[in-house]
Amino acid sequence: MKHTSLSTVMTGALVTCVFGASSPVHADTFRQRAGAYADNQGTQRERLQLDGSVDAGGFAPAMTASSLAATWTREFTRLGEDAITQYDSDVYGTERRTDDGVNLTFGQVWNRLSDSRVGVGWRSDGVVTSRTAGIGGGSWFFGETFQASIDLTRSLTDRPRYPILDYDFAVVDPPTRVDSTGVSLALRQLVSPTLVVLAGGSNFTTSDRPPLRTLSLGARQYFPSLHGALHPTVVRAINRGRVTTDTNYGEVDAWQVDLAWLQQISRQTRGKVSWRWYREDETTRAYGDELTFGSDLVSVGLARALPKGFRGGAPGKGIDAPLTVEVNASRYRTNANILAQVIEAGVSTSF
Amino acid sequence: MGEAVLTLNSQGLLRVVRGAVALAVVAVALTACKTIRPYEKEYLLGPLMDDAALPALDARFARDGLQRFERLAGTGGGGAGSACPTCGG
Repeated sequence: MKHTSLSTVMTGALVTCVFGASSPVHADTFRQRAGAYADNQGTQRERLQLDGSVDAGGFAPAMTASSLAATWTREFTRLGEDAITQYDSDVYGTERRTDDGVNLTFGQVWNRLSDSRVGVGWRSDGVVTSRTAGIGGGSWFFGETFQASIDLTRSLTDRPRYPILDYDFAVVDPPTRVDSTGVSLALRQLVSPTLVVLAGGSNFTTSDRPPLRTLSLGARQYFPSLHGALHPTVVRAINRGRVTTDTNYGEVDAWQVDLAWLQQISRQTRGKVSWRWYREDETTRAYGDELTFGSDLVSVGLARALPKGFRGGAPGKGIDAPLTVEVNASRYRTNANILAQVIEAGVSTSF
Repeated sequence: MGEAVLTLNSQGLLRVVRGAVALAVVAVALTACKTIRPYEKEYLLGPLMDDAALPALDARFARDGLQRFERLAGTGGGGAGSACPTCGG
């Protein structure tokens, strides 16, 4: 675990796209969310997040709609005594840190069936800073039953120099700047009136690591008699190749399985129970040791829509826009004896 | 040498298998895509099937936090979006 802090910050900054393959919504939406995390190493984190999306209309020929979306995130972390590494002590000098992140996405819909998007993102904890830019597009084909999307992403991460001595006495000295360029392809097929099949793949090249390739396959199956839907997804990620002293961990590959059940509980209330299983195999650079990391995550979520005029008032006296109240609770467990609980709550509205 | 050749051939075979799987997925998709009529999309357009309508139920903070422990968390999972073609999703 000695390299965890630096490597995970890097990975998170590099491979997380600033936007998904989703498209503009035809309404102004706002969401605010707060979350708290605590684990058995004594680490505590709190997060505040604001999302806003504004319908910008169709202001060009053939443009059906467009939207501008922004997300601001602030996260406070206080590391527990068991979680502080030498890297944390040397680089941050304290067990506390604050992460700030901003994402902006401008999306457009063309002739109702095609969409495009461009986005930028920035994130920093005061020591490590990453900037990401992306562009993408997609379209529906074959009677609006098959969708293909492609996204290109480029990221730059700046971090302090921090050489360490590895087990084979080689000096691992990661470069202070890392750049990453990636392409992602996503396919969606409406197979039957109750089944959607998803497939995706991506390839990221990074200046200090072997290429990262992923394949994913998923489905969304609706069960009309149960008023519920099953969402299974499998992801395979491979980050193997020549590893040098530019990076502080070895070759890795991973399997991830997600299984979720979504239930329409009442007209205004929806629920979700999900389970995620993750296994990561690493071959270290120094002596080729084989290491395995495993984890699972169980989450329960509930969202309830409150109609316009809620709180018993007549229209105009209650809330003037429909609200959705959302709560989530999760439990995370790893084979490295980490046990964490996360609680999230939020509210969103659309105009 | 023999091991190297075997490894090379295995990798080549793996690429061919992956390509074949990808082609099969596309072929199935193209074959099956005419079976859904617009009036048959009632369930597909519902909120339980539409990833773009589900962020309220996602444990986003918990999932983002995994990246502190898992090096390849957050990768893959392509295909998120809306199942509503004429909604622009």
